[in-house]
Amino acid sequence: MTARLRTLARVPGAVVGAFVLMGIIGVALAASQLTGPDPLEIAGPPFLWPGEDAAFVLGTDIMGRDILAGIVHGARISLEIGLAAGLAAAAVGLIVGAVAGYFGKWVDQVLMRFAELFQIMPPLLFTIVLVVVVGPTIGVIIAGIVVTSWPQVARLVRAEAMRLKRSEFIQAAVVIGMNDRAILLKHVAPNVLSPAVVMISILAGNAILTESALSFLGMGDPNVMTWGNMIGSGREALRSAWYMTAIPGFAVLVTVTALNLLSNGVNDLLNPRRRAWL
Amino acid sequence: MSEISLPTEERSERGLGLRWLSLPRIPYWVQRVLQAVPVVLLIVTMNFFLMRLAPGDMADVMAGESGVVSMDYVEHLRHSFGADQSVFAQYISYLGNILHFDLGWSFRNGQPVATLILERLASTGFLMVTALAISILCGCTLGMIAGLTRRRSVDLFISVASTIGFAAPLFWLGLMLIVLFSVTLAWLPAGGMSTLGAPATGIAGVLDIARHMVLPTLCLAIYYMAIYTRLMRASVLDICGQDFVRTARAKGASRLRTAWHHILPNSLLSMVTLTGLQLGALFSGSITIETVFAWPGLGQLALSAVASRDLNLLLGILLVSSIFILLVNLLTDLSYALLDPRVEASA
Amino acid sequence: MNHSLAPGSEPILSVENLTVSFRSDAGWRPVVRDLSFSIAPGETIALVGESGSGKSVTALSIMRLLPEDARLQGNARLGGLDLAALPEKALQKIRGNDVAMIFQEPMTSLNPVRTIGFQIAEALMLHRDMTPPEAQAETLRLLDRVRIPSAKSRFKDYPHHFSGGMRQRVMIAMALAGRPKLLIADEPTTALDVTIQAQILELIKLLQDEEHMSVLFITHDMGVVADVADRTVVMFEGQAVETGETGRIFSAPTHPYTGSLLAAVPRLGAMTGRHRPLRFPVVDRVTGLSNIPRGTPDTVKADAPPVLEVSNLTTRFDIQSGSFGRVTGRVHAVENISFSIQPGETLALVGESGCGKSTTGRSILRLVEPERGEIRVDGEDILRLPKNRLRDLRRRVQMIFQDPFASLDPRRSIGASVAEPLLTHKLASRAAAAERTVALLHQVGLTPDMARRLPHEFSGGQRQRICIARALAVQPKLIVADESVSALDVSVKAQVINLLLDLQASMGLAYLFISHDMAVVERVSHRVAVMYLGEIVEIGPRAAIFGNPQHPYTRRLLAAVPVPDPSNRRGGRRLPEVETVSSVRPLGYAAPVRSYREIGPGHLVQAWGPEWDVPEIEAAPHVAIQHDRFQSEHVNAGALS
Repeated sequence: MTARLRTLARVPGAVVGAFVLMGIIGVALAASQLTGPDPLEIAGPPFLWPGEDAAFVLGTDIMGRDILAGIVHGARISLEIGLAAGLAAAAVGLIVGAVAGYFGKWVDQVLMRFAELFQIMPPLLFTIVLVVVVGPTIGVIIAGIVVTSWPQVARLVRAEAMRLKRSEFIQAAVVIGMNDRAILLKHVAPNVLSPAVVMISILAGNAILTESALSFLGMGDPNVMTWGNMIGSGREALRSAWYMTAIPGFAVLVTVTALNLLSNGVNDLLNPRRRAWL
Repeated sequence: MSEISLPTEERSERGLGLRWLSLPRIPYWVQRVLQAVPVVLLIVTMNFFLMRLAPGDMADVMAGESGVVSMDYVEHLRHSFGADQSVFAQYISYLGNILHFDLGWSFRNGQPVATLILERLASTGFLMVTALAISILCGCTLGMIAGLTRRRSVDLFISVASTIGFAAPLFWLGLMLIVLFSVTLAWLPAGGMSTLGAPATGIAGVLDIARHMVLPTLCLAIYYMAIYTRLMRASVLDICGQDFVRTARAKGASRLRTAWHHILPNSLLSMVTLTGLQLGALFSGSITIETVFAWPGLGQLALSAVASRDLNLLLGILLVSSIFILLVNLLTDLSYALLDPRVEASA
Repeated sequence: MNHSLAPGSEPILSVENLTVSFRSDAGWRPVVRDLSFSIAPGETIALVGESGSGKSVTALSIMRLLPEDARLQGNARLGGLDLAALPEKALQKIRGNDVAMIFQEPMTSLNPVRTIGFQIAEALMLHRDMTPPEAQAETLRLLDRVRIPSAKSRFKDYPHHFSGGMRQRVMIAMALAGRPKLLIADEPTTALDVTIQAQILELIKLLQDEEHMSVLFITHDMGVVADVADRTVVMFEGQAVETGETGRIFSAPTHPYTGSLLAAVPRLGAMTGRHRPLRFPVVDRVTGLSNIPRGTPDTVKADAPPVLEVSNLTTRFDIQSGSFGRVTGRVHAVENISFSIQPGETLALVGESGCGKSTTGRSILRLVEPERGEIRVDGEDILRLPKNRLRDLRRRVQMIFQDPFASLDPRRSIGASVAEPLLTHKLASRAAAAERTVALLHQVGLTPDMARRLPHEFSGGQRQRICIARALAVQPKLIVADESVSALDVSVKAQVINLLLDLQASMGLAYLFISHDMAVVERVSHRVAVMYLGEIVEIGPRAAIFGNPQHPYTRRLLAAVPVPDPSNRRGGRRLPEVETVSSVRPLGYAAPVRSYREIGPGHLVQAWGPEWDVPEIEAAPHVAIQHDRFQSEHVNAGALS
């Protein structure tokens, strides 16, 4: 147990990130209990600065909606989008990368050309096009993010799968008579899983950023309260009431920072620095 | 990069090292260009199908745009745009148009899409290149310092700062900068590319544009600086563990000399390919930044296309920006091949 | 401890009570403990030990190049200077100047993006106050001195233009730049082929004489020690267990560990007069008592049909450029080779890197697809087998790989790994497979309770045993052992070889034993095939190949093997300066038609062309001597049989 604690102490950033994230998850889960069920409801007078009225700790927006309620409910949407997009992109990237790296040759060429296609397309612009063509729902937004972010994972996993393929234990698996499918499932996949898992939280962070940018540009799902929507609507009063913009933006910043810290720390744990000659 | 595709067992046999052999082969740049062709085709194809995916066909959209409701006119449009032909025939004619850089007509703007895009390309490119230059320069320096310093506090500070920079929503950062520098301090303009009514020529004009550029560039640069800092730091740490660094130290080179002559060239080399890969994200960033700072570039054009439901224009922008990024990627790969002596054998 | 020095000379380096510890979770962990030795001017000291004995750490602590989480205690004096107390600035004046170092990995020790000219000139400009043109001229002179041909044209070349041996020469040139008093050579030849190793060792000796350098030679190879060292320090778990004159250490080791180490060293020529493979004696590390190795029974079934027949096997690889690349050249990895193996027989395939021996092994398992030829296993041509019937092949032929650390899935328990072949071939139910696994582990000398552990909990030798157990699971008739003991420490190597010999005796296994190590091959094999550039140049009974080698390449290979006997040094013998030749050919290259001569029963030699004459003339006296010695041994062997 103490050994585990010592290991964790080596990556203080990850510990901080994990705690902050657990806090955000807790708040998101208890959103309705904390602030009432509907963040879109007009709760009081508009343009209340934070601290001005004890009933609205973070103040109210242009229309008199409770900013705290928006933050708390927005956390839920942000986390859902982050988790769904992160998991899906990691899964797609894992499968494509493992298959491309393991089989190589033309399979690799074809899959990597697709990865290149989605990697060079500006992710935000592609998601905007998708929203315009299909419609502004959370599902479409997640799909757009996944489509443009899986190649990062695929490249990473592919490099690892190529390295594994050369390694002697995969050769040994061939020699004992296993077929490609069994080798991919039993030997390749488990060994490329960890880089993909580490990527999930970075991807989740990116997804949250992309969604907030979309909402800010007015292309988010209009039926839910998101941090991006709040920044977008607060912008109209930027000069007089900048807190309406600052608070939800800060929430995004904290959440994404926590996710990145966690990812960095886990990565450091899995790939400890071997040595340095300088 | 491109290695001779030998079965690995032959390569791994101790010291066979085929790499020092130079063999006559297809030049690297030809290979790389050939690899880009299917990607361009994929981009164009995807654009075509996205257009078809939109509710109603193009004729409906255009009829709506031009405000004419007569069915005859819609039929006429349909025929003139080939929408009554088979999907395949439409696809072929679309490909032909693209080859002639004919991206269609923007009814809302009453101009060809290609013209609209070309008008805006320069200002977006200007913003991106400036931001990219700043972020590469500062990012690589900071990353190098963080990776090499023995003072944990310095490394920690740079790392934490870059983690936060990496996590801040760009548009929000822009808004906050406006609040601070334009609203509160009133030092810099909050948007646009130049002051209305001010002299647009001479030194005064240049200075005016420069003043307008400070905030959007800074904002865009901060995010990519954070990325480059992280990448450079990781690369430096990785290279510090390589055997040749030990060799340099063993021959008596100082830490500084080793860093400058041995670590830096290797780290910068690994940054080159990453630059190309970051461009898509940089362009996305520039879309939001242009909106925040009312910068008259492609991003703004795209958003106005969304607002007016001008799908033709929007897809044109997606196509042009993707191909543009592909070309830059190609260039960085080729320059990598020029810069890295190890690729020379295949060049 | 023996501190005797050449009379009247101050030591160049004296190390006293050196202790090096690394910080770990559990506090300071000592890696080198209380080590003392000294080096006189012009002397060569060998630091010898197995992996983890702390020898490389010792070298790095003399250079003060240890990582920051290391702690150094004790004294290391260079002339009058206390190295342990010097500030960084003063150390930089010493490194590469008074003390220079070369490393084990010539492939990675040079900066890939700087020219070798820059890297050598850098050392000159750092220590000898030269202007760039002076440094360039001196670099060319140094390249000449390390015998790099046409130095002038190579000044601007990058490391990847050089082979491993040539890179090590560049490293040596760099080390000579500061005219050091002491050269530390950390396993400088371990990554090189045996003929290249011999050349590098000779070069170091030659330069040492010219420069009057002292050399601290770090190695695990007793043969190299015997060849180069005046005095030897034997290290075990961070401590010097024995220090003394090299001849004395070899003839009369006092410490039991030294004895056990020496007993496990295979010696070329030790098998003269024996017909069957021989187990290694096992020496107790504490008591120093040795057993007499048990003889092996005659396992070869000479009358039975062969278990493997390879005829006219050819495997080539295309060198393509990129994805749309046309074929621009071909590696003729295996070129028209034929041999067979009887049940219970060990055929060794020897040769240097790139000779195609591994590709031959892989072709037999169809890990690579041969271009033409026949491979008959139990009479069935497996090259005609469709892909889906390859499973049958893989029940009859198994393989053990080189790297025991890479050949087990790090995420699967070793029990699961060993049971995997049984389940894949549906040879047993899950429960039965578990039982079989226990039996297999027992058979290779491991305990059943280890089945639940993960590979990282095992040592290299244990892992190789696990790999053997996995190969045995399907009860194969033939095992291809591809450099299977090459990565193991010498004492572990001896144990694994003993296990392989025991298994051959009990199960009647046939082995295709692929190895670059001539001494090991002599010990384990019944017959030997020598490969060069994809072809078998000589094949025959072990005694004939080692006792009466005919082909110039076989002779060169045998002559280059370091002999672990300080009284029989190569001193002054000139070896031919040969560069590695590769088997990459242009398209449309037609391999020459070869003919073979039968020298003795089953002993075939490829007829060689005039290209072999040149190096032989250069090396004539030496090869002649070798030849005579082997000739006489062969006669002896003949007389005994």
